[in-house]
Amino acid sequence: MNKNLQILKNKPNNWKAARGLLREYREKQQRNSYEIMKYGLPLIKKNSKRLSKEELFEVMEQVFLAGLDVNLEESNALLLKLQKQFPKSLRVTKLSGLFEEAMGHWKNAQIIYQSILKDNPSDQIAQKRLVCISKAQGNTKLTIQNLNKYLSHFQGDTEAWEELLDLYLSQQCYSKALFCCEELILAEPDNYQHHYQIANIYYTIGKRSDLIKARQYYAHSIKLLEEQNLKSFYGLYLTTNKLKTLFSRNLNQSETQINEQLLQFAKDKIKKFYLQKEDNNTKTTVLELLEIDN
Amino acid sequence: MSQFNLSNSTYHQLLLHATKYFSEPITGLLLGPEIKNISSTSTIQITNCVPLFHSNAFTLSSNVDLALTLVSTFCESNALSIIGVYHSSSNNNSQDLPSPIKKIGETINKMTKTSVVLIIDDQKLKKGKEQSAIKAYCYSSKWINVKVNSVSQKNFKEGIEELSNEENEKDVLVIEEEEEKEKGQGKTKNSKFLKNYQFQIGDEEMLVEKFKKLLLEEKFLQIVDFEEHLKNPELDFLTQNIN
Repeated sequence: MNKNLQILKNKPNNWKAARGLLREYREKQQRNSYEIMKYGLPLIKKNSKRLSKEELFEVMEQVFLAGLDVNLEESNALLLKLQKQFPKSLRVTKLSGLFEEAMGHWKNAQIIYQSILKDNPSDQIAQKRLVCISKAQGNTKLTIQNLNKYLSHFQGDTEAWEELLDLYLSQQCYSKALFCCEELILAEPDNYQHHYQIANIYYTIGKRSDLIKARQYYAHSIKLLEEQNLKSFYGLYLTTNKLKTLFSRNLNQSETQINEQLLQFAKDKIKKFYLQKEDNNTKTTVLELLEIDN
Repeated sequence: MSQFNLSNSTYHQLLLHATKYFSEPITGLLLGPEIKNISSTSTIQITNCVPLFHSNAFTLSSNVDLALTLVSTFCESNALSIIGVYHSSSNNNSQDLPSPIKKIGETINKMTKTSVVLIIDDQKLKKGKEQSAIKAYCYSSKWINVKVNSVSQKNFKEGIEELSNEENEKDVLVIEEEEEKEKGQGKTKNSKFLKNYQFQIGDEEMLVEKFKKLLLEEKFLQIVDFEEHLKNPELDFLTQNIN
């Protein structure tokens, strides 16, 4: 568990640990809103003098964003303070747009972002937020349209491609989802997650040729990262098992051999992942499952 | 009539799962004690839940297959069976019953001949108007919404008798027998006894009070789902130690 979190569990008033935790979350851009509000708000209210001015406002922004998820009243108070401090700031205007979104006031939010775009037509964040509003309103088809428009201007935005991938998956448009995954792989060829995800989609489509592709992508994901990639080993295990049980007639002898070797390789590695850990229900179940198949 | 009873602790666990990942769509499985011969008068208990995903992973069959395989292996060694699936979408306005969830429910139906889908509707937890936040769907050739009855657990037996005495058609959904179209699957043989359904949960006020208490105790931080397990294999997702 996170060192700072551990300290804070025993001493919730430790301002150093709170500051450290919030810095970590800012760096990794993690959305742990509950914890940020819990430890960040006292930091602002009681220990603001311990922080440099620059850091204080960054923390205020961070706690504001967390409050949009867990405590809108506090967010409102923080927004007013930030607006007082930075009256004509574009950054704070965007925060006010986010606040309107969190309140569900879609029209007000749209007005704010469109006024930003009037003066700054190439502002990426404002354009993105307009797409987010159509998502929040529940109109998936319109959101997909808008997101495609956005991506035609900002092809390098991997976060947007991931969002589009998610939207296509929720509509079960697997071929379009594949396209998004391919864009992600082009943009970040060493990211094991993208290879894992594309393998998942091929497995879901499910024909023999797709399963073989899935197997290749799971294997590539494992090649990129072995240590913390249990999910890809599971994927490899499932795919080779499915090829063995459902498509054994369609594989020639050498293909069957390769498949069998990969299946054993996956099983052995999965076992290794668990044997080092303490006993619990999941460990027992997994080991049982692998034995049954043997 | 076929009756499903949802235990209080399961109800709380699924809401805690939804609380922990408030900005994502969540999915999980419902477990209950094994029933060897399901009949038209079976009472099916839901005593456990296994949280699975907090993303759109439920739309991909690799994740679902893996989860179902692991959970059914666990069930076999613990005299349990998979009763159904629960889900909550991240978006309030979106479609009620997404088709991947229907598919999971139908797969469960093939395995255990009985299946229920619970959709969490968190709008029902708005301050001042708290009620039970779930919608139940049962399967008989297609998915049908079933009213959720809240009965005080003490007067549970009396409550059932009351309802059946009044013959209140609003509380009990009667599904007319549909023409058994041959689909080549065994399930149409069983559609006779999945005719009438009832879905019971405990006393609503008590449920809400207890849930508020669990939130204050930050119990939602302790929920571990399958996705979490894949990142940290030392965590156990099959049993949640809450309550």
